[in-house]
Amino acid sequence: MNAPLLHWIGGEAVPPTAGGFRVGTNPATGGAGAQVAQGTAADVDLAVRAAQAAAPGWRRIASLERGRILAAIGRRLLADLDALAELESLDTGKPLALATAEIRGAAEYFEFYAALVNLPAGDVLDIRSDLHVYTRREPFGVVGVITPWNLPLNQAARACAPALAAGNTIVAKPAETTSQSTVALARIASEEGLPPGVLNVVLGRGDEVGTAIVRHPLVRKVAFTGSVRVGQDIGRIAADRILPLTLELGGKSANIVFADADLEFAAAEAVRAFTTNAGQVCSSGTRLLVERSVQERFVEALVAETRRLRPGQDVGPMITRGQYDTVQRYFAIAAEEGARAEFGGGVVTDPEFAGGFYVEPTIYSGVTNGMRIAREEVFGPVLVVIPFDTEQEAVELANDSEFGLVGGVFTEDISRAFRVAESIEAGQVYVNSWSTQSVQMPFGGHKQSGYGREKGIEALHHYSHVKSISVRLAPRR
Amino acid sequence: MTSTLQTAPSVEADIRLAEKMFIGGEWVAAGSGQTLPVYDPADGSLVVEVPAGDASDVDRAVAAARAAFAPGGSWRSLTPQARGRLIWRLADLIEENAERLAVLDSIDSGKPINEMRYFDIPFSVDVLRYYAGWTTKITGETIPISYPASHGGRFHAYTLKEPVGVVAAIVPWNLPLLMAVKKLAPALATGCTIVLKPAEQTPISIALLAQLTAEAGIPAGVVNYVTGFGETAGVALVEHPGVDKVTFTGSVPTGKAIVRAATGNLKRVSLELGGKSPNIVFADADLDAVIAGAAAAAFATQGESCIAGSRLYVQRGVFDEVVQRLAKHAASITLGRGTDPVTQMGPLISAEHRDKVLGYVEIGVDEGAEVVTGGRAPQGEAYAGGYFVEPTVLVNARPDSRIMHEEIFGPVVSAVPFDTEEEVLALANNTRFGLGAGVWTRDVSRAHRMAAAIESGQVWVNCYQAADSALPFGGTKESGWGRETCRESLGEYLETKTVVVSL
Repeated sequence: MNAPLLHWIGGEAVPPTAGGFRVGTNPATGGAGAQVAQGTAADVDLAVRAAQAAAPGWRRIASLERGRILAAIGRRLLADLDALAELESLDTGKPLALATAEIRGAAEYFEFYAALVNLPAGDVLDIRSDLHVYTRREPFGVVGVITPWNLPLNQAARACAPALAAGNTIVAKPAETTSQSTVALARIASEEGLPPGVLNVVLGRGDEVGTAIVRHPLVRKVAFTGSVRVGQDIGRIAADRILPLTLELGGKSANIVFADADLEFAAAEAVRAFTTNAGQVCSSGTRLLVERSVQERFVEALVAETRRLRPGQDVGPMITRGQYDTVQRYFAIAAEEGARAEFGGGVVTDPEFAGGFYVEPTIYSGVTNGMRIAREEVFGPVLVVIPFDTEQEAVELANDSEFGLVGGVFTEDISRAFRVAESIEAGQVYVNSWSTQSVQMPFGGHKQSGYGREKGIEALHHYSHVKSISVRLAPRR
Repeated sequence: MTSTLQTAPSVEADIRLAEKMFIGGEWVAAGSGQTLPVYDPADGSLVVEVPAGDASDVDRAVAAARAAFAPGGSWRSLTPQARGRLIWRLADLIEENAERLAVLDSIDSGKPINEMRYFDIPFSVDVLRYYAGWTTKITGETIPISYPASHGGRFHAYTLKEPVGVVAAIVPWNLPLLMAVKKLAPALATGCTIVLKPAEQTPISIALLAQLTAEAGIPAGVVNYVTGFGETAGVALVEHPGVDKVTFTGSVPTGKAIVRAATGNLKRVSLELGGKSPNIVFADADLDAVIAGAAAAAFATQGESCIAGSRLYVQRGVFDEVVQRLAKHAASITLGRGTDPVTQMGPLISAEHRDKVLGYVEIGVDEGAEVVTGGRAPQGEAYAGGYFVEPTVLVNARPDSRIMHEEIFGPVVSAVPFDTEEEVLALANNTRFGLGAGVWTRDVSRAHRMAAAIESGQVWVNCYQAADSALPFGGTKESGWGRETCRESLGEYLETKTVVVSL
């Protein structure tokens, strides 16, 4: 295929010092994909040192200039939209339209944080007349950014834009299966004037490269998006180093539909909630809690809506063979637990998609909240439907989860909407819609969905720490 | 002496843009067909005839702005992000057209082109980009409340920030483009629509600015531009019931008249007026920096600056040295036509204003002051027909002298000695104004003490006139109401609505 994909270190493409290359898999066909460098700890050390060397200059650069560069990166992502979307689609197998939307979102992060560099650096505090006291926000230094394979460029931009805006330098590691767009981002950033070493990308396996980043003594902060298990591993290493973390992990998010809701619209939103990106989104709405009196009608509406989705165009493949296998394992678990497949429950058998990692969008009823299919994150297009009788029961079911990333509530009763929205234990809640997200809204989890927040002004606080300075003023002679 | 810049065909075309007004996306003449002349202050020659707009033209402009502001209209329906992109695009266009704009302002205001190139234009661009960033950060708050309620006491309370509506911006002649941008940018960022009225002496750069807003893609009617005299077009705008807010930069008497005229529909008013700013030099200061800073404070923009450091207080031990060195610096300043790149100080805005400034020098001398340097109109062929005044340093003015209390708005600084910190603080605060102040000292405690005790909107320590789009700018006392630039300024263009939902 194309030339092998190399690390991006110090503003240029760098081959792996010791490791070799791996050949990826095209998830839409099962055939050979991109050839990607397999980094080692030595490559990480090279990248961290480049980032450390670039840190003082980047921190000192005038904030408007920093913003100008970030804005230029954002504009460039839009200018190169088609090419980047194609690259992303090739790595992930996702429909081109979805990849395009994802990259538009990546550009928005740069636009948003480019402008945010103008935020006041702190406050002047009035404590006593003989004290001049003020606060300022300072960057951590070198930040490690470890991102997953579901929304590769979008997630990289989500972490990199605020980290750069706050004045940090970065060593980023994309998922080994979806590395191309993150390297493209770093190259674009360099071309748009980001100084060498400010954004570096090291490619390779998580247990090799990812671990080396988290362990490196010059890395002062790590932002990780991915699975709970890896998040826990990172947390253990970080504990020894007292390393601050932002962890954005999984979810089993509840979507609560009351009988008084606009059921037709709610059904369409609920289907979008679990099938977008073939369910490979941490913020999928995978537990549907529906008021018992309308359960039957509502499930019918869900099935009708899901039946319209076409593989390839509306629902892409699982991005890796491993994930394809995992989803099938959960189909078996659900069947064993006695769940009833109202729709789907298997892989796509149409010969047109032979070789690709396609599974059917699947809706289970007859589920209780204690079953594994209702508690564990499948990370595929799989929905469980659980009935409830009262508002209190709905909230208790929603919160009876190890996760707490997002939540939804559909009702025409405005008081109930606010009551339930405020009661759900999650970082983001949607009322009468699903996933009406924006770069302006802080995003992150409760419980095992992680800690810290991405997006919004809030994210800047997770990529900087505040210093307060107190100056005693001598009395007038 | 004719600058080649002035005769370039593109400059001619740009100047002729000002022969029309920009209303609702159309370039139009005054309804009456009347015009008013704009003169070149460097030689008194006619630059262009611009429309002399009156109440009927103002009616059209306000109607266009109201239509653009209507709910669901082209402006209100844009997302904050889209609005921000348009403002950013306007900044890009100003940057791309920097030299054109620099030449225009330099021609009709007389100010040195290098001030335009290195201050007014880049600062205008920064201000627009700064506000472009705010569009997506104008947020209300969700507020936990303690209100006692009959039904359980649970509330969802929050605030909404809404644009105030149609803004009339009345722009002065000293920094025409920058002052217009300082009003235009927050109005656009907050979602208001605007009618810009430049000073009758200096409309031409703002005509080009209006054209660039259209080029940037800002919808028709959002930015309107009318020219005319203050007593006709200006008064009509300020009294207009369709205008929700007036933002004005200019003189104190006009500011007071605007406040009175705005009472009809209780318009919001923000005022950035004059100053008589103290510049205070302690004996421990770095005197090299002091001389450069005090000269810039007094003579930049010909002293036609609201923040001019026109009262120079110098601790007695270094008074003679500072005055002598400042006078030497003043005498070395190159006067000339603004568009000539070697010019360090241009002409004053008009013959009338020149006479007023020279009149203040006479008043000062009558009241006991002495001229150390300057004090006259310069002689010679190069200055013929122009409105030039020499950079002037005065000493020995009495504390109650008119020249220590009234804004001269020309290149005239009075130096006064002092002994103690307490004494100079009393002198510095003995004024109706409260805009800027400078403090020069190496003693950090004294610097912060003085900064806290001086009655003014801004204090510069070991510098003067430092301005940034993120810094609040505005006055206390008769120097005005409200602040420009900075986050706080957004509030001047917003109304807050409180919403309480009982659950």
